[in-house]
Amino acid sequence: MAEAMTSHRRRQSQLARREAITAYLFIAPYLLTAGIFTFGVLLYVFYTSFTNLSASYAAASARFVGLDNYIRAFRDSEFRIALANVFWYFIIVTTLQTIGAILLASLLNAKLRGMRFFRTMLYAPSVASSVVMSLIFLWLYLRTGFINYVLGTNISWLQDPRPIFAPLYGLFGVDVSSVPYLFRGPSITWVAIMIMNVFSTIPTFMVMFLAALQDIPVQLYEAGAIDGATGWKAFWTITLPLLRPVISLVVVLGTIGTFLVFAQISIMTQGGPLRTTLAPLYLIYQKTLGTGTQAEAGFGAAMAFILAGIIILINIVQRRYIEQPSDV
Amino acid sequence: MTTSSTGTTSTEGTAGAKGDVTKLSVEDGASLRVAVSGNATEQRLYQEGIDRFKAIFPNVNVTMEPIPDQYETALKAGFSAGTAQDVFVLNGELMGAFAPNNLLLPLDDAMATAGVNPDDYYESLLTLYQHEGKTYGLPKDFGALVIFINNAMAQQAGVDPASIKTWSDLSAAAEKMTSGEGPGKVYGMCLNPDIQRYGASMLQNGNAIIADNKAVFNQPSGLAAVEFWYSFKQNGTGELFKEMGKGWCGEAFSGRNAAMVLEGGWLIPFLADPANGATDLEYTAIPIPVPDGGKPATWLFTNAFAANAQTKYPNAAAALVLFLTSAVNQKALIPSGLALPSLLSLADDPYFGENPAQAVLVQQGAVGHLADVVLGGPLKKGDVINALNVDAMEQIFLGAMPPQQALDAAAQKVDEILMR
Repeated sequence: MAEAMTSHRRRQSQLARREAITAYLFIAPYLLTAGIFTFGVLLYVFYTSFTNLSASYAAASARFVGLDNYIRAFRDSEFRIALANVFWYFIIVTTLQTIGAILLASLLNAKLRGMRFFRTMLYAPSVASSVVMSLIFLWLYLRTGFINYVLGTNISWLQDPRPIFAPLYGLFGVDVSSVPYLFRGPSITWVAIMIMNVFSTIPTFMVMFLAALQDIPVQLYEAGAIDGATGWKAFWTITLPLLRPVISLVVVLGTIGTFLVFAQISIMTQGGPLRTTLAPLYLIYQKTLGTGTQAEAGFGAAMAFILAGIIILINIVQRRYIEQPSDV
Repeated sequence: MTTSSTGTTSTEGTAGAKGDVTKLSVEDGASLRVAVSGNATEQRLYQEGIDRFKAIFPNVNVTMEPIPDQYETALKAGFSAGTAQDVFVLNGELMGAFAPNNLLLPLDDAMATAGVNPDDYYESLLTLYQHEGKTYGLPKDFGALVIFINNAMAQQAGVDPASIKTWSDLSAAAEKMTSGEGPGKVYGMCLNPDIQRYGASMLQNGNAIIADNKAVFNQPSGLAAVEFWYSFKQNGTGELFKEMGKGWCGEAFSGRNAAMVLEGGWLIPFLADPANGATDLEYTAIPIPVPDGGKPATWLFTNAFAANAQTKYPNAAAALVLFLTSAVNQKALIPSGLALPSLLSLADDPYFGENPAQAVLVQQGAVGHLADVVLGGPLKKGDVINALNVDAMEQIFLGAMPPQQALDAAAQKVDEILMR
């Protein structure tokens, strides 16, 4: 009897083991590629960040330099400017794209004739690649371009390094150039790129919100209506709280996206004017591989890891504050 | 077993100015891969050169591998992976990266065998490709910066291009050729706040950019050069091409938004291209006017051909480098008008008698300087140019900082780069 039990158990455990092996075999192709091309490379780059490896030289010439690259990054004025720039980009773009996406999704959630058409039209901007978007806006933003024509202004949108907070400081008689770089605010050109990015990313997030909105049971609104919550009140007390998990997701995705802004800069401004659109990823690219530099891959790797650390830190804080109440 | 041409055609001038590449004992059945950068036209010209080489060495197989984009990155990656081509176009940046690491094939022995005298080439160009007494590349051509003037606008304003010799002549001419207001305004001068433009005027005041591994461009002679070019902007007789909504000054020139531009020979094929709408635009080229007490100077740009130290066929690779930069091959390329010959002997080519603008360009070989050499060496050049352009030139021309202050700030940055 006991013998039969153990043999049965043995057979069961054998079965389980065989099942596990099959499962691992199924995911092996992914594990292998991810292991080599994601984690393997990541480890190599992490090692690189402690060396003086130059992309110009054979890898054999790299020497271990300890924390030198990290110390240099924190002291490097360009890296600090890039972090200040991307900070504003993250604050403004993430806020605007999240609010914009919720509003648009709510609008599209209404039951109206021809809604499918509007949904398609509003989604269209995010189908275009960021390169195509950048090229289109490059023309729109010309001094002789469409935006100046419509607004009646005469601004070189992609050539204007003036910080947007300058008039604010002017009110108090403070010269903006005496203020620390971060507190001067983004330049006009940087804001122009932000607007473009908000415009092109809203639709993607809008779709996420739309899906979440359609998951909210109608009964909740009916019950709310009985208690007197309609219109805006229903939106604030029913819709928004139930959207929390999606808001958290959108903010986290938006944060990662904004910190990694690259194509727009590479195509439209190359970090100029006066480095006011220089973002960390573009700087890292320039330092690591860019034409005409010393191709300091080790230094670039150190900056990349600092950037990754900052993003992870911000994401942790965001998830704690946005997601928590709905976990209850 | 060696291969050489035994035909009746002369092989003089197939290496350097008068050398003979067939004196090299090229490996029979050698197979070479050649990496070239550039657009479709340039690739066609490279292929023609390779075909001429194959006519001399029919037993050498040569395959061209064009890399039209991200050339430097691709070549560096090739060397890291051990898959780099046997022969390739080399610029200053790559020279700085490869030569100190012994990745390039020294050409001195092959040059001596084939009878190539280093003095055949402009010294200012060749020196970039020499490292610790060895020659690792031979300049295949060069470009130079000059002032281009729109003839019709000059005539209308009563300006004789040939009479513009000094800085004050240039200022006066720009003022006369500026006309109109608002979006249709025509500027006398198109401005491009790049050290690889206005640094030429610093060089006219002696080497006033970097001396003894220290930045000196913030001293009076350097400041004077920047203030001179900034004065066009201040007087309203010049404007930045970006402010005119143009991609570069050539577009401002072809669009008749500016009467004068400081540009290189690449402007000539650009104007000749019907797509740019300026095939009827007649122009004159003049050397950059000189300040009082200064001397002629300009920027030169160059590329070389070089060979991989790891090539399986060093003799064939060296022969190809020698041939592609030889008098025979460069003479065949002159009529394309794309680049100027790097051999002094070809400056007298009849082509330049018929093309006065090209003649002015080729004369600059004697007075020009390479940014790779002047701006802290090929490895640091990129960072030095970046610091000068962003911390000084852009600040000044966007009116964010007074010239002296901006130059001082940039000098500090450049000193840090030079000490690194």
